[in-house]
Amino acid sequence: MTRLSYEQSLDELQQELLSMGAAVGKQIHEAVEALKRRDVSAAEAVIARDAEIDHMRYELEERCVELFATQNPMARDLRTVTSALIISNELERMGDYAEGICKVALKLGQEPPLKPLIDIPRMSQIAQDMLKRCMQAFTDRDVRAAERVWRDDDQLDELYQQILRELLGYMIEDPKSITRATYLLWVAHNLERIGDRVSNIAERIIYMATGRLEIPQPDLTGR
Amino acid sequence: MEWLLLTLAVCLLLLAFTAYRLGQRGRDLTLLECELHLERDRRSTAQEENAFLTGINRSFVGQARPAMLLLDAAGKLRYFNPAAARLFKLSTSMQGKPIIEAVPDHDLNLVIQNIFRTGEAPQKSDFRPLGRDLVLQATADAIRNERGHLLGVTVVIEDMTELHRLELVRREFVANISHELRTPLATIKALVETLEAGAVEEKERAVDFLAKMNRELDRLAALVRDLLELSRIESRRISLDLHPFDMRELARDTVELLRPTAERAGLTLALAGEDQMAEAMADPDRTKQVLLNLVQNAIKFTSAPGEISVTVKPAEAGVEVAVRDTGVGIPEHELPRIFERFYKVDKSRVHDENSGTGLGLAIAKHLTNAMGGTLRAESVEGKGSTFTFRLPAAVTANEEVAV
Repeated sequence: MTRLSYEQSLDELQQELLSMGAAVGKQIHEAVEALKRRDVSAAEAVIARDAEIDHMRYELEERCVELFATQNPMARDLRTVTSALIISNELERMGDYAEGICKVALKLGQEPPLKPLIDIPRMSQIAQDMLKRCMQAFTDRDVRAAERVWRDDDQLDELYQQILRELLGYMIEDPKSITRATYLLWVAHNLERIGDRVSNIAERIIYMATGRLEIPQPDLTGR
Repeated sequence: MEWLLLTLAVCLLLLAFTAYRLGQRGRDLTLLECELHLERDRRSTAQEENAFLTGINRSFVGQARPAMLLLDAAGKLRYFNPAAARLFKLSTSMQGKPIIEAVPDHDLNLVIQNIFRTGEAPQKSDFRPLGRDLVLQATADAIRNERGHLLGVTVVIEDMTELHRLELVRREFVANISHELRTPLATIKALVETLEAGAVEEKERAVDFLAKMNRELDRLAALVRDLLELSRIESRRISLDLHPFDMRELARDTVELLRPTAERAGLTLALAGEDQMAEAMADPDRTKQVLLNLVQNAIKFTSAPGEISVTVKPAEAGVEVAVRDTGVGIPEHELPRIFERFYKVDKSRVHDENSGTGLGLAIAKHLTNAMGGTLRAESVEGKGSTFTFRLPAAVTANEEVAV
């Protein structure tokens, strides 16, 4: 592998990662849409597409290993390749959460709806937005943007707590709702976990750009 | 002497030969010059042609409504037209970047990756970019040299959002109109069958049935009349008798006309605001039709005790008439659609006894537009609605002199 193709290979690694990010974002969106619309075939389609995400991760891993083995990347490049490996893993897990949401959608599809979904789509929106901004920060190696994404995870945690309280209310009021409420809680939990994974990616971006492996400080100025 | 002659002859011969050669070279030179000129001409035509092609390209691609992207063989963004810059918020700094960095959209990425992988020109219809309220359609194509090597890829992205919306409106219209026509027809059919089955012998029932059939037929006739009217206004096939008239007087007449109906419904209906003359330039009969429709709607959607007021006031280069009620109001997200044909906010009211044809507001809107005016609605759900139409003001004698 010549020097030029090394650069090219690093470039392509980055592009593959961005493609994977876009694909995972779409999966999250479609998963929550399928749940919202009670659309069984859409949920099945998301579940089927998860294999593609897994495949993307393997390809990325292969490329990283190849780069390690043949190019001996140093300093910043080394950080990029290790980060890419970890980020692809996080993205793959996020894909699994989207798949999990669809499995719930399939189960809930046969039950009468418990309540109109408002906070869950909102959580999904925030998670997608965080992911999009995170991948942009990755492209730009923008530490500040990555830190902002990291902090936004609090919003998801708050919404999750709110949904938890609301669903507990339903369960106490009517024990017949427990199954459905638990399923919805599962969805909210998956979305909350997606947010955590995005935060992990944000940490990786900071590491990649600065070499510092540390958790950003909470912003005390109130942003 | 002989020597001398011989030398002279040789000299002459040499001279002649040189002259001949010189002449030949001269001719050659002229030929060369000609060719040079020709070449220069050719080149300037080629340059002109090039400039022409570039010009065509720039103006066609630059003015085109679809977004256009040009990628090189490595998948990097080489060019995008202004429409693409607007659609994807691209800046010139994006040139030379991989496409997934410039436009991180999964569906578009699939189309592009597909053409790079398979070489086939793929098309992706009706995808919605994440987080945007748009429907797009993308078509990719490969650019190859004569040996078939891939030089680049073009991607054309069309915004289908408006088309989708119109298609939805059209489909709803067809569904609605068949529904509106079929309901009275089904009722009439049922009544006729019952009469045939023997009810015709019972005088009292027969009379009742006939009255019902008559009502349904009226309904059908009203629907057909409104549909034809709407189509005539839309295609501007109505004759408008535009002349100056006093809007205040017209409003007063309308209020007087409908006051008994309002009072029967337990509502107050009044002309509000100062009593000042406001001359409009429009068709008074058609204006009255619009105002009647708005006030009738207000009565229909306000429950007792409630108030309806009509205000007339001069507005910028026009006259404004507002019909305000304290009725049920319209939810904010329904407001943009209420002027659509057959659009009903409360779907449960569809079969209401006094529900109209569902075309009233559409007719009112088209009529005001045809007279050079506007009609708009504001509302707070549960508090009431205000429908305001504005028509051009009549030019007064004084202004005419001033102009």
